[in-house]
Amino acid sequence: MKYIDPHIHMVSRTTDDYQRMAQSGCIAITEPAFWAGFDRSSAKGFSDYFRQLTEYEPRRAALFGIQHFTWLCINPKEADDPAFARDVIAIIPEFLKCDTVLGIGEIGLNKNTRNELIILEEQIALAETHNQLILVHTPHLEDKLKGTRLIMDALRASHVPPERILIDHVEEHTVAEVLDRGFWAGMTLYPDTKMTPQRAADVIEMYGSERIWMNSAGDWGCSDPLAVPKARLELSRRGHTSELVDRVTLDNPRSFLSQSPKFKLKDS
Amino acid sequence: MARQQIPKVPQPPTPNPQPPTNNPQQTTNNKQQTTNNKQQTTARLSADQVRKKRFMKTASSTCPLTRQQVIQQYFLEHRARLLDVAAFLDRLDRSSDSGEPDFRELALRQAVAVLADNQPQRTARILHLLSDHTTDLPQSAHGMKGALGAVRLSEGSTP
Repeated sequence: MKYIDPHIHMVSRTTDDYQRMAQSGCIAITEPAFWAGFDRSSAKGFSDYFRQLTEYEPRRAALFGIQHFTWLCINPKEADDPAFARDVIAIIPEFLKCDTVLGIGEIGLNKNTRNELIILEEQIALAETHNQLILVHTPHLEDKLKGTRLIMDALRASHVPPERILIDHVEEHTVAEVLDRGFWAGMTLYPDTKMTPQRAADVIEMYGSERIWMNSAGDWGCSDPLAVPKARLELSRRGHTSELVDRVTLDNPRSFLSQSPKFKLKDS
Repeated sequence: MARQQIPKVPQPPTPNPQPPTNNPQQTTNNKQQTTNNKQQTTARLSADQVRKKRFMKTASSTCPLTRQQVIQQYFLEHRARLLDVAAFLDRLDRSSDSGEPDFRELALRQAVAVLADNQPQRTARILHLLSDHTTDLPQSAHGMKGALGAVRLSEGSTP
């Protein structure tokens, strides 16, 4: 079996996680830029981080036969200071030329503030200017519903086609609206606090397998880099076909990501 | 603070209140009237209502397992999770002070009531219950980086 984990923060994981993922069938990952758990003190810190994402992580993943792609941005948790955020946005275009950069992400909102919204709009414009795919972070917990709607309104105000945008971290109260508005939807699987593999399987049963994917978001918090294969197992043990399992964990990510000419799987 | 209504979740279909008739003409008229009513109703439906109607139509029988198989496969782990919730509430009762209930405790108790109301879409309704429904946007997130998981129900917003 093969699968793609289209949203995982490998800079926070140890090398044996790559090994376990490869042993579980992972052939490719995409890693969005995110918050390190603390606010960086300068744009230079982001420049180093973007080098890590575009130079170091692809080499580490390749040791286990996993292709590593990435997304660049200033994440919503550090986007509340517009002047600082603009300094970071200014260095992104030079990295967009790298062979493994698929687009802008994960951009979005965290606490649904005006400052965050301004920077979101500027990063959507950046994607539009450079014809990039967009990967969207939606806020967590009580802020998700309101934030998801604000983000979709901001995206609709741009000229980026919805089929080139994936809105991640959907849950039962947001998934239908995201799909109905023409976007792709991502479900992020966590061991404790948010969407579980079981609930993700429920969502696929209720809302279908079109324009939807699953990812682990494995990061520095309590998270599971093997969440996607666990969701595959969950679907299989319910009696779903291998075609459906492959569609949501391999074919759909490949379809969306292949809109970037840089996304080419070695075995296809 | 501006507060939106928490979206109502669709209720199960109500039985047709019209008594059956043996008159063919009356039946035809009733069918025509029903069709007209459906068209008018559809025209009035908001996108949200259409989505919910679609959910109600598509959500039944979507899990390939039988009811008995679902029980066999999941009962024990969810029994344990339910006991975790019970133990958490017991722990609150046994806490070392007698402070006022936190807004998250109140929200959790409301969510528990949703579990037992025997209506569909419990997960989505609980997520709505625990969501911020205000429409105002603060300028900055200074001092409030993280999320808390529930809102003060009296205000509909995070503290």
